[in-house]
Amino acid sequence: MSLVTIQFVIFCVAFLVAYYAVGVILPKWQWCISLVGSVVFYLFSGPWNALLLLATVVVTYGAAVLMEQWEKNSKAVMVGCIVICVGLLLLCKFDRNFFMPLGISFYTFQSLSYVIDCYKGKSKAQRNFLKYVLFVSFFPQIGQGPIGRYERLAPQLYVPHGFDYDQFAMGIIRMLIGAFKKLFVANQLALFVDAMYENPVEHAGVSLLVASVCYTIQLYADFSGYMDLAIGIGQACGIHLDENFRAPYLATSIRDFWNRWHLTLSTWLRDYLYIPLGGNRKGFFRKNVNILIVMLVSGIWHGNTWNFLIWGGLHGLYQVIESIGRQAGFGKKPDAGVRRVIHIVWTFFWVNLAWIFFRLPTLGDVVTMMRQVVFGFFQDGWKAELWSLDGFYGAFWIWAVLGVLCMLIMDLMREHDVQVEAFVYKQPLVLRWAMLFCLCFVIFVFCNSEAASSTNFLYYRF
Amino acid sequence: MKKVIIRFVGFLLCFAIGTTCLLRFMPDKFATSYQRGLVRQYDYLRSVADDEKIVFLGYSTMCFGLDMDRMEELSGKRTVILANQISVGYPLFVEMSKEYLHPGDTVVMEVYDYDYWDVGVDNLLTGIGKQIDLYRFIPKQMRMEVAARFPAVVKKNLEYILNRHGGFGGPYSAEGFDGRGNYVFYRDECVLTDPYEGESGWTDYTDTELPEDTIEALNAYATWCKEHDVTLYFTVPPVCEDVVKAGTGDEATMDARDAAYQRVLDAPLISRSKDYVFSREYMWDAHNNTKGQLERTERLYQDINRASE
Repeated sequence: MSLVTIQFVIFCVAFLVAYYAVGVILPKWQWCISLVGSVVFYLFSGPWNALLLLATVVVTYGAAVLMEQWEKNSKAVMVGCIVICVGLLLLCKFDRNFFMPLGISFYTFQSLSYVIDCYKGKSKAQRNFLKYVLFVSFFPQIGQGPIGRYERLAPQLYVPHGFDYDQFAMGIIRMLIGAFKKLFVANQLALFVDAMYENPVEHAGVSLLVASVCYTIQLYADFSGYMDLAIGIGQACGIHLDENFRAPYLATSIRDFWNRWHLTLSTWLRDYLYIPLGGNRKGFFRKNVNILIVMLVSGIWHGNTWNFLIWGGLHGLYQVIESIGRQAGFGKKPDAGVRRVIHIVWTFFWVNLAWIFFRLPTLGDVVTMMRQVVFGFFQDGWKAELWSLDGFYGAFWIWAVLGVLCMLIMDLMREHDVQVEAFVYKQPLVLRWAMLFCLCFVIFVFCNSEAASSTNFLYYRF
Repeated sequence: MKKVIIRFVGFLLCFAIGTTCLLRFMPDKFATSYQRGLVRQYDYLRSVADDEKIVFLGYSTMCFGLDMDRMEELSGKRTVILANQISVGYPLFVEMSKEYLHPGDTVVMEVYDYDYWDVGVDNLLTGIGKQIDLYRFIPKQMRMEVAARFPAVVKKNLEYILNRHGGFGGPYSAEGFDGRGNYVFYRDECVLTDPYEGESGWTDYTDTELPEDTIEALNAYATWCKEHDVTLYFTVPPVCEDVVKAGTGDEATMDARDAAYQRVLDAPLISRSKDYVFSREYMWDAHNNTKGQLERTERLYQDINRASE
């Protein structure tokens, strides 16, 4: 069930009503409503998906409990658990005969972080099996994250939450912002991106380059839109999920980019892979090797093709080059002004280049595209391609430019620690309702897009 | 919680009113579209509701293939055409006709081997435009889909405004209709390739089956007509002889197809397919030209006359 469908809206309304009703009548059991809601939500994706989720839950639950009871062999238990869960994840990703359950990459990592934290003594094993199921399957985040940490998420899930109007309202506003990003920005850009990338050899290099920039923004709008929806639902329930983005395209270096993009994955990789590998404690060379390994793993986490591996490898290489540059005294972080803008644009360029591998299905398509950029930049018909998409001429670009401007404004606000939903909420009633009206009207008009990925989010496939 | 409900309901009301106002005053870029002809046909139907009339229901083959004035001259009765492009579909016209048919009226309906419910909802919505009272004729089977597609149609209209779309013109536009919904755009010679190369598809008379949904819907309408003392006849669309698939256009095959249709339909099929195969002289594209429109009208009148004796 996608988060931008009418079915989900109905489900969400029913869930919130039940959640707060039980919160008043039987507050101790409010978490059960979250559990039931999460199970129902996940069952919509299919019973086999639910079975695989149950398998991961049982293995990781059992491992944590076993480690506490069997301290002598806790390391072996942890390793065994990791092997099973990662094995299952790799089987789903690499075996074409096997299906990809919704959110497997996300809930696997979330469960493993719990097991590892239990091993390290950071968390105590959750003895209540149903409570643990809720931690793994909490529905706002199971599809695409954010990947939660047990010590932060679990305490919020199990305690009753009274109705807080301010948090509820801001949560709803955040959800509307998420729907706006997905339906107005991502879906519209997808029309152009899909048309250009379907068969790159037929299109001019300039169109393909523009498509690559559109995809870069589409992916961000799509993924961050989902995050806003997920975090918004959580906020409406009184639960604060971890942020996953911090204006990533305003990064001034690749290292900075990874401190802003998919934060919960990058911190997971830092805490559970990079640091155990030695981090930066084993010398300059080893540090860069570790960075490369982490980024390659990140690539594989996303998908089982060479393109994803190359994407991860590119980001690893970028960071290694930056690291060498910093070591040599270059790349001092720019504070403000033109230098900062140049760094932002420079970083955006390299990130954009890597996303080409992420989007195109095969290496052959990437090569074709590059060839078109070099040899067919202004291929015949390029003006028509850019200006008369689907017969809609300028309207498409008006939406696109408006959408990008809105994203930029929201990111600039976040860069200055202004929460967009809080900003909207704090306005006087008339202005607030006018802003919400515009938001809702745009969502209404764009809710039934022709874009192929119209209700599915891009990161669902991971 | 009370605060939530009050503010939520208040916002919803404001949103509904605001959106309605916006849509009401938004320029209608589909005002000159071909499918907007259905509004003129509806207005005319209402204006002659109390007269004894013959209502012709069909797709564009009926629209291009019937001359109202000639039919009125021949039959001596009011003639109403409820016909538009195939994607506008039958369901709206059928429900609309029920409100304005009275005992003694006649309906002549084209039979097409097309799924009754296969409606291009976007074209239907852009055809209805701001004629809000037409929404009540949308059958309940289609209402969910219509509601789901409504925002996309609003978006399309907005895009046409932004693109400064100049409106529609030519034969496939509202320009083709007079104020009564009679199709009057002058069509001269046949524009099909000669020899025909199959660009609009082929008519195969060996295909004798009608879709189940179509049979069910047409027979439900036949039952309604019987219950309300309205005479219902079925007819066939005109076809260019060049478009008939080789080996399927002999008289026996066509008669067999007609017989197969008659077996499943609960109202008389008054026309023979062989009488509605026209040479290029009477065709424009897949539809009659102006000369063919008159000729088809004459033939159809003969069929109605014969059936009513």
